Amino acid sequence: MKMTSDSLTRPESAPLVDDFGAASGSVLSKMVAPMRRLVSSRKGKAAAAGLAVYVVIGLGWRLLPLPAPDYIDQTVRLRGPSAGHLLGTDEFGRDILSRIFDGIGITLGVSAISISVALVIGVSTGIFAAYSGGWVDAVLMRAYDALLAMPDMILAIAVAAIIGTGARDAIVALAVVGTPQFARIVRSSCLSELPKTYIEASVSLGGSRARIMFRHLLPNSVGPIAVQTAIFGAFSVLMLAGLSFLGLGVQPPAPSLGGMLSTARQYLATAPWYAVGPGLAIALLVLTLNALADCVRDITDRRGR
Amino acid sequence: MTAPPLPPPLPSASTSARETLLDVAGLSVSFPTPDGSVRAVVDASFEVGRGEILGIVGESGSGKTTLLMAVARLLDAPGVRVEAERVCLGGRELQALSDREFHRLRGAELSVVFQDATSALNPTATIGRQIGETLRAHRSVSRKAATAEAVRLLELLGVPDAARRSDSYAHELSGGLRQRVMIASAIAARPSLLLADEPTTALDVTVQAGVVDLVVGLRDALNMAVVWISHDLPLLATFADRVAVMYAGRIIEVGPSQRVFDTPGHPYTVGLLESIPQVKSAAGGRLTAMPGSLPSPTDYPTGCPFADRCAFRMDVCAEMPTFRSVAPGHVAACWLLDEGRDSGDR
Amino acid sequence: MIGYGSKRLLQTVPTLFIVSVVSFAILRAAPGNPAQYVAGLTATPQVLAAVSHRMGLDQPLYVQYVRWLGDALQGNFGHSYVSGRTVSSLILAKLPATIYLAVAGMVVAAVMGTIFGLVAAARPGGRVDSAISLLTSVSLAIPTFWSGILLILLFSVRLNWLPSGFMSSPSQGIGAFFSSLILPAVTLGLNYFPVFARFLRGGLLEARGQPYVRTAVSKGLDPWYTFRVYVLRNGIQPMLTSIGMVFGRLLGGVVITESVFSWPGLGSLMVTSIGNRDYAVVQASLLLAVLAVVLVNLVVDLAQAIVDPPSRLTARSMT
Repeated sequence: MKMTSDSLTRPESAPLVDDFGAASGSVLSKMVAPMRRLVSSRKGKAAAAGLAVYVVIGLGWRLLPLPAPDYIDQTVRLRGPSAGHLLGTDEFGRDILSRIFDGIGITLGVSAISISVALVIGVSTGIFAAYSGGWVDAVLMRAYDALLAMPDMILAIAVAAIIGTGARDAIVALAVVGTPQFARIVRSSCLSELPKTYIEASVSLGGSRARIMFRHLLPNSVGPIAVQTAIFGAFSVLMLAGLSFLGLGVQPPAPSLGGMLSTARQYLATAPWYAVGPGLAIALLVLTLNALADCVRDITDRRGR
Repeated sequence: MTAPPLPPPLPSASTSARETLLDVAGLSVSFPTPDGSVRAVVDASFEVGRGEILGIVGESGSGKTTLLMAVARLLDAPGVRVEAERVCLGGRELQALSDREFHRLRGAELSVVFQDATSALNPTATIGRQIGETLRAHRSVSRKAATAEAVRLLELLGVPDAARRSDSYAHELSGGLRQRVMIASAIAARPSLLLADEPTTALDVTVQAGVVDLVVGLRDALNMAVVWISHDLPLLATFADRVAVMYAGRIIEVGPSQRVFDTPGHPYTVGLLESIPQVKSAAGGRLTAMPGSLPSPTDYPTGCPFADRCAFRMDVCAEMPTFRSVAPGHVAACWLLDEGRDSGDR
Repeated sequence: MIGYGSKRLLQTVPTLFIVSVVSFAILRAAPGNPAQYVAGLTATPQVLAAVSHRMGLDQPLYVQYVRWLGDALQGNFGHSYVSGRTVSSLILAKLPATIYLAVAGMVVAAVMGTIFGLVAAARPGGRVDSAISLLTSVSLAIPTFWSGILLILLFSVRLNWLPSGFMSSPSQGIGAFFSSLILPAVTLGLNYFPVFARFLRGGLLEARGQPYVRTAVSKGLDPWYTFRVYVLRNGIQPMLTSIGMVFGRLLGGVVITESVFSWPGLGSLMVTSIGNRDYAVVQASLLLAVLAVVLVNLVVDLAQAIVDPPSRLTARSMT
């Protein structure tokens, strides 16, 4: 790496460019161009649109002229689709469609929070482990490996068993499952970046550990992190629904897609339509997120990394 | 039923005494790319006699591998087009054969040795099996007999401890041994023609010599014709009977290998030989490099492809030269040579 | 070979250790005093103290852990707080049903995955391949419980061909047992075949592009032989390696499927125990589940090393 006097006096905020052309710099600056590419393909457009629909529903369903999701009316229990109740009513006479929408909102909220938690903890510990190396890395990774060795659903159930049930506890359970995944991905990405010359240059220029980790290692891991976010997003939706189905996630009377399916199971013979809506809502959301993950993966691959 | 016994070695014969085994005329290979149509091989013609070793020499990108693969019908790039006036093996026109008919010739009449034996061998089958399967594909031989023959071949090819080795896997062997295994598995069914694509390029020089001896020995023992591709003309000169020089997809010189090496007829061949670093040359001496580089395969000039880099360029070189005689049995496509002799004397 | 085996075995120790700690944590994290459960709600403080002492609850935590571990290794997991039976007897009673279901589910998933993988790889990029790709994507998106419910809706409620839940144990009526096994096994298979299908397709396509296939062609080998010995033998590797991972996920699916089909196995036991705060049962089932996954992974790795020595040498970087 050519050490010109220029580079020695360069202001610290300017990005360094390594021999492979990867630029360090702020995380956000690296995300703009790929975002545009994400929606350029047909699949990307569809996935992004799908996710947007879900987010809009989750945030704004209250604006729609629907019956309140908690409005109990025992006189209309388990009715099929009708003008007043587009998807029918549940065992308490509540409108299924509005409960589904509410459930979507809750699902998105829980997922988003658990993704964020898992991402923050996983990414920071992953970078830290990769950079520190030695026994710190070994201990951290062994712990994460042990968590990863457990099947995700079972781990989530175990955590739920320890800390209890409910949306808040579900968030913790999901975060516990997700953190090792992020940590692992970030760590291997960092490990392949560390030998590169620009890191060495930054060290010799006197960069602090934190600086190197967050200004150089992190931005170059954005790709894998993005893919993992989408993948874990899909995962968390499925797992939350599963936990709720088993009675360990979102607790009644709060609506949950999994919980509704659990009830629907009981009334399958008498109210078969009950099972269709919530399941479809889950499936389409997961499909969208998986498609998004594919698109993100395509993009990050094409950047030649 | 055991494999047929090896025929007695032939006395070494000159080209003219040999019966022609492979006769290729006007072979061209092209395939479409986003940048235009690539003409990998242009109007190549050559002959190989029974039991003769023909070397094909050229730089990377000269089309020599493509030429070989075209003859062996192993080109699978999408849209590839192979056209030839004539591709005759033992008098039989190969182009007239269906894929299935051609496939039956493989291993039995015509076999290929590839450059990189590392990935060209099946990692999950023992090498004994890989040698034996060629035999079993073409003769009705029991598995035991095939394995025995495989061991025999390994011994013949100079592999130490052959019986034990035949139960090992490709990754357990060194590069030189792997190449021997490749050769053994290619010739197990005694083909009359062996096409070898730079078989020793990936090997150490010391190991190289062993493999060369091996192939020459096989030619002697089996009267097998060999087409050997290399970028190393001096090496070919030591053991090949004749050699053909390729440049930019064309064959530009053909002749007895020692003759071409000593008195090259084409300026390109001259340059090729001069640019080889000599151990004996004075220390500090400069390497002679040929100016310029290969023309782009999507944009070959209409005249002599070497004209741009040739020190002896003349106006007439804008037209593709015909083959002219350098000496009996030795021709080169260059206007510098005498007129008169026709191009039939190859 | 022995060296590799013992190395692999040793690798599982840290995982098992941490899992055992997590299991112990579940037990101790239970709110309330475990001694209370054993002694009963009406026990006097003296009785409670005596029981606590007997259970070793007044010892420091790590001592309790060691005691627990010692007991666990002998198969003694204590008693269910709810039913009073020993945990091990409860688990043993429910274990066979889960094993049947898990095995059946794996078999269905493997068969479906193999078929779809082979068909998709036959003509890559073609219409069938794209259709199968769509199918796998959809299958990955559908939650296990939903597909189970839909299958019940179709085959039990509408068509009345198959029962919607557990019918009888094999000893009591093998026909009824199998007919009740079909839907849950198919549910599991439908949800877990995609990984197999994708890995097989990928593996086959990659093998087909390898130089050694060209060598096989150049030797004039029979095309079917070439497929068997060159393409399939090499291409099946990724799928075989994924068995461990799929099994792990499938166990999670088993817990859910048992709930959907009222299948009396360990999964149902675990879920109801959590609901009942019967932590002794919960931690034992958790431990068992993880042990099963670790064991299956180990067996798959060792089997591969025996059958296919070269794979042993390629970096097992997937772990």
